[in-house]
Amino acid sequence: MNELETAITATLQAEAEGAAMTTDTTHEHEILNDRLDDVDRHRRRITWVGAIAAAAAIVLVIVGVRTLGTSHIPEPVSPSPSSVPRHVTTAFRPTVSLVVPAWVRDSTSAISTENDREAKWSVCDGGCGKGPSSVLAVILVASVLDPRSPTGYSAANQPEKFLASLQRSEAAGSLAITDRSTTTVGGFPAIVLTIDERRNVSNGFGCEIAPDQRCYDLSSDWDRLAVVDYHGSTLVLAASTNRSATDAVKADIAAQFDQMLTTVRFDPRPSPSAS
Amino acid sequence: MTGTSGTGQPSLPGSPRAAVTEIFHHHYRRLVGLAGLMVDDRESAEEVVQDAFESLYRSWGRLRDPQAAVAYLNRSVVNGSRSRLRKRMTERAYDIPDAGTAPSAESLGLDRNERDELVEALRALPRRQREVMVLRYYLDLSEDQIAEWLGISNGSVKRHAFRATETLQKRMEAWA
Repeated sequence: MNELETAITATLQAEAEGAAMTTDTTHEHEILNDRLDDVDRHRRRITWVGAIAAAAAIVLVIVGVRTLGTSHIPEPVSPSPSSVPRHVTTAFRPTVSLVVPAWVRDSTSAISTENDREAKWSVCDGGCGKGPSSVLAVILVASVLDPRSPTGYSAANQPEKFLASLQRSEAAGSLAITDRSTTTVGGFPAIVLTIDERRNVSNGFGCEIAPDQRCYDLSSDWDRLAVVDYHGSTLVLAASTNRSATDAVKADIAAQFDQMLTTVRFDPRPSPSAS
Repeated sequence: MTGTSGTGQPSLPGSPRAAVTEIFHHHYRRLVGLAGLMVDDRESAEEVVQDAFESLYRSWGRLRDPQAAVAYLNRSVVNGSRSRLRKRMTERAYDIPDAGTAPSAESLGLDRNERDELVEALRALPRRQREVMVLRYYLDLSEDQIAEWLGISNGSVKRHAFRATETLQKRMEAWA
């Protein structure tokens, strides 16, 4: 190591120690304890939700078996559209109207946030304000960009590039894609898929196209994703939860998310951002 | 009584909560230092490290030994710091830590002004070059490891390190 390298090492160490010395470890430990308490509450809640979902599934199977045992097959009953409130975005562009899943509507702790580039519903246990730790599940609508595009952040925001990026991440072992299917969302072509995030990867989901773009990381979550080709741009709808959630919980979230997709409507007026 | 595992690594308490707490007491300050090198302000550094510990707790069942937990934390802190920096790329402001709390320049064999100049030069490096320098000279990672952590090629790591070193060299020569 030459003189400059020695000086760089020593300077970085001194800087790091300087930053470390000013932190209040006791206070930070208290904060961590609160956050870990939230995680524990979240796990207990997930366990209960899983148990309830499993119980519901059993009831449905029993009802199904009994129904099959009779000669009378009842007509399917569709939920009355007017009985469920629709959410219409006000800041997010393009304007989206949808019926959020029951686990969001029925939660007393659901928090809705929205800006021109993101509409999100977080269902938390113990208060979403305490950080991502307490988030049980998230519904997200956002426009994103393939972060590894050779032309950088000014590249066209094309759905196929976004999907190609996910496939590269899968090939690299950062995530696994399952249950991929083609559908339409709000009249636009879409690919629906399930993602199991296996590694933490900064910007693994891409970044917004904006000077102060926010990026979406892979962070040990499980996601049900709809990649919508909205006038040639990528519009992503997602439901996320921690990948440690039980299969029953994930299945329930996926089913409700897929149901939500059938309710999505876009403002028929062309969006200025979609080109 | 503290036991040791077969690999010679110190064992951790049985419950994940106790184990994470013990790791917190041993590594928290060091990790805040690492995050501080990348995000420039202490509050953000503390948040990044809190996120890393929470993530560790969530992932505890998949970790095999204490060394893996520390490696996981290092990487989480680097990823979290990079993510945070990117989010505020356009509003970046430097907040130089109080020099009075850092080890003395003399103890490092550096003149105080020389060290301040180097600190400023390191902070002025483009983000990617700075990340490479922190991983190389603070975490002592190999080129291969840096390439993997940052998701770039070995050639890119070499280029960033070369350009950063060249910039720092010129700056120090100009200052001298």
